[in-house]
Amino acid sequence: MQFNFNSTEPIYLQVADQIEEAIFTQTFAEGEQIPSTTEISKEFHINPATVLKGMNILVDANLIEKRRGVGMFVIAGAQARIVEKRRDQFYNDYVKKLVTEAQKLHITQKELSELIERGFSAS
Amino acid sequence: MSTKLRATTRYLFLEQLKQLGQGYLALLVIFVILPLLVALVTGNITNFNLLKTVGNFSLGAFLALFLFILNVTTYDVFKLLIQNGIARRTYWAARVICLVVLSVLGEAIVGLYYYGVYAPMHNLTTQRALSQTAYSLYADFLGKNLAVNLLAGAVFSIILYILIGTAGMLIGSFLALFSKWVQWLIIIILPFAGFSLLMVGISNVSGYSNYDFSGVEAFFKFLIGYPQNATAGLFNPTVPTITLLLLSAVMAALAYYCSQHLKIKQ
Amino acid sequence: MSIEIKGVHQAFHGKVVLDNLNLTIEPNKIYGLLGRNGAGKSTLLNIISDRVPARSGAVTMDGQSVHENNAALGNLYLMSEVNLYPPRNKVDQLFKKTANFYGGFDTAYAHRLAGEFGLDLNARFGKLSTGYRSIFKLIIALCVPVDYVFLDEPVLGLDANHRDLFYQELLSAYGERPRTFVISTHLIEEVANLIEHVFVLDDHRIIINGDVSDVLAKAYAISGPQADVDRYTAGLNIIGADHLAGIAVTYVYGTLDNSRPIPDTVQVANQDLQKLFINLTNTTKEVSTNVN
Repeated sequence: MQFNFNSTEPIYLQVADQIEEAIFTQTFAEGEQIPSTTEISKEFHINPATVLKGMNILVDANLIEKRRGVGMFVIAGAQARIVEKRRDQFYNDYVKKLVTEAQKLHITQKELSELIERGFSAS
Repeated sequence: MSTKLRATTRYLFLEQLKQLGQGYLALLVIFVILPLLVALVTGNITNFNLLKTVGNFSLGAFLALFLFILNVTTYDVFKLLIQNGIARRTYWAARVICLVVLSVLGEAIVGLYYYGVYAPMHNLTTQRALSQTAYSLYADFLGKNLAVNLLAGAVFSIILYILIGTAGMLIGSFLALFSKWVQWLIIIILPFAGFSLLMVGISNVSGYSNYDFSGVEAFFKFLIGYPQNATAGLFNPTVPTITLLLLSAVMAALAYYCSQHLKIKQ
Repeated sequence: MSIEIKGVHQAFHGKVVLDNLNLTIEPNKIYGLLGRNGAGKSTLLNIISDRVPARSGAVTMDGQSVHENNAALGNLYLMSEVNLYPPRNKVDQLFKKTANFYGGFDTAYAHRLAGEFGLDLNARFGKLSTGYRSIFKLIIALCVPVDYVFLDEPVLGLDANHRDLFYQELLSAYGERPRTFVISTHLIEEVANLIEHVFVLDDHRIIINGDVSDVLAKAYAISGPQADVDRYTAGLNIIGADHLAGIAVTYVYGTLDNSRPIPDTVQVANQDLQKLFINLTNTTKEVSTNVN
């Protein structure tokens, strides 16, 4: 696991984001155990209470579950749920901004569609 | 005894015992081994009398000096104890316990040496030797039983050691309240001031030479246990014993008061 | 179950060092105690550990005064900058003495830590360098069986590797047996994520006392063209400002005015703990009076 922290966003949100990202990229596969609070705490010098707060966001989002006395595990279907959530966010996070910026640059709707097609064929 | 007091007493006692051992060792080196070496080097070995050297120690005076200096040392021990979560009053209690135990133990060593080595080498009978100790004024008061007299003499010495120790404790605890600089000031100025005061007192008193001192004299006679027309050796040790114990208690109480105000200096 | 500091006031030679302080230190939490030099941090820690009795006010542990209280004093350890250990004693000897006084000590862990940090068990305390004296005291702090550990400048003289190792061991020890740590340090960035709760001591008073995430949630950095930033931050609790090549950054501590629309030209971000600390404790008095 590779954590990159910045100093201006709350750490517990960053912990949640980074674990979610690792589940999304299947670094933590479904049904597998994720590192314990203490392990993450020790490795990245983060207060265990903060790590736990981040993990609890993922527990509430039904992505990981606590197995008593063992640790935290990725729930089956977690990755699909993340994909679904990110699709919802895609419009707000990217499309809206894309259109706003295009309008500033006087790019027409047709030109934008062409650009998107170009992007698809290039990748 | 609480666990903290036991731990503190044990620590303090072992440290003090170690220091006492080092003290005796130093005594041996300075007064026996060094002169022996000097005699060897200078070729004066024929004039060196090992037995005479060993037979001339005054271990009692050494013990008194040792207990005094030991109990003056306050701040260094306090530092370590407060770092380890030991309260001031526990430190004080442990010191008092150690002083009593060390006085008894020290007197045992002093007694063994004095009556076992010193007295025979100076051709003194045990009762004669007893008459040359701090107990000399009272040596015959309890009768002819030697064992009883020796025991009484030992108890009297132990109480004297305790008094000297508590005096050291008081001085040490008092000085520890001040910075190094102020400590030196007190050490230099206080004896000087006391001496001056005494001088002023004497010069004042000398003007009133017809002043009646018989009350003061009677009081001192009472303190040392002087009965009417008694000879030395037959004084009554009861009052002096009680006086010494009371003095020790007062010193220890004052030392307690001072030690309650100990703090880590910045 | 906690340490309570109530109305603690301290003055030396007529100069106030702690001005009527009130604090609660709860069990099993990691605290940061931040303050500039001379703010009164060490004095506060000395009073809590009864090294210096307070002029007025009280420090209690579980309701009992800590003053002259073996049970309370034996349940806390203060690792301080001043060295109170006999310089002629050897490291391992001092471990044993600590075990005697505290009635317990994790000697195996202490030896393992000494190995990891490269501390010679046979070295005399007085011969150790500043860094290794810190390491020695840190090892004791992690191995004594107490519920409250106070660390005053714990990483003084430690190189980056040893600091890293220390933070790791601190969290590992905390994970094994939760207890309270209060870390007083100038290296704020290094402990910012480590601590759960922060106290900021400034000018002999506590000016911040809260959960790090709560405190930082109220610490904003608002940047953009000067005029727009000024308009947006007018009337807010401004604690500092920076100017970078035509861009103004204004630092706010407190709630923003949600009724005001954020101009397109203006960016709202959060301050990190160090920036917040610098802004709050800057000597420009007209600024720091805005606090709380």
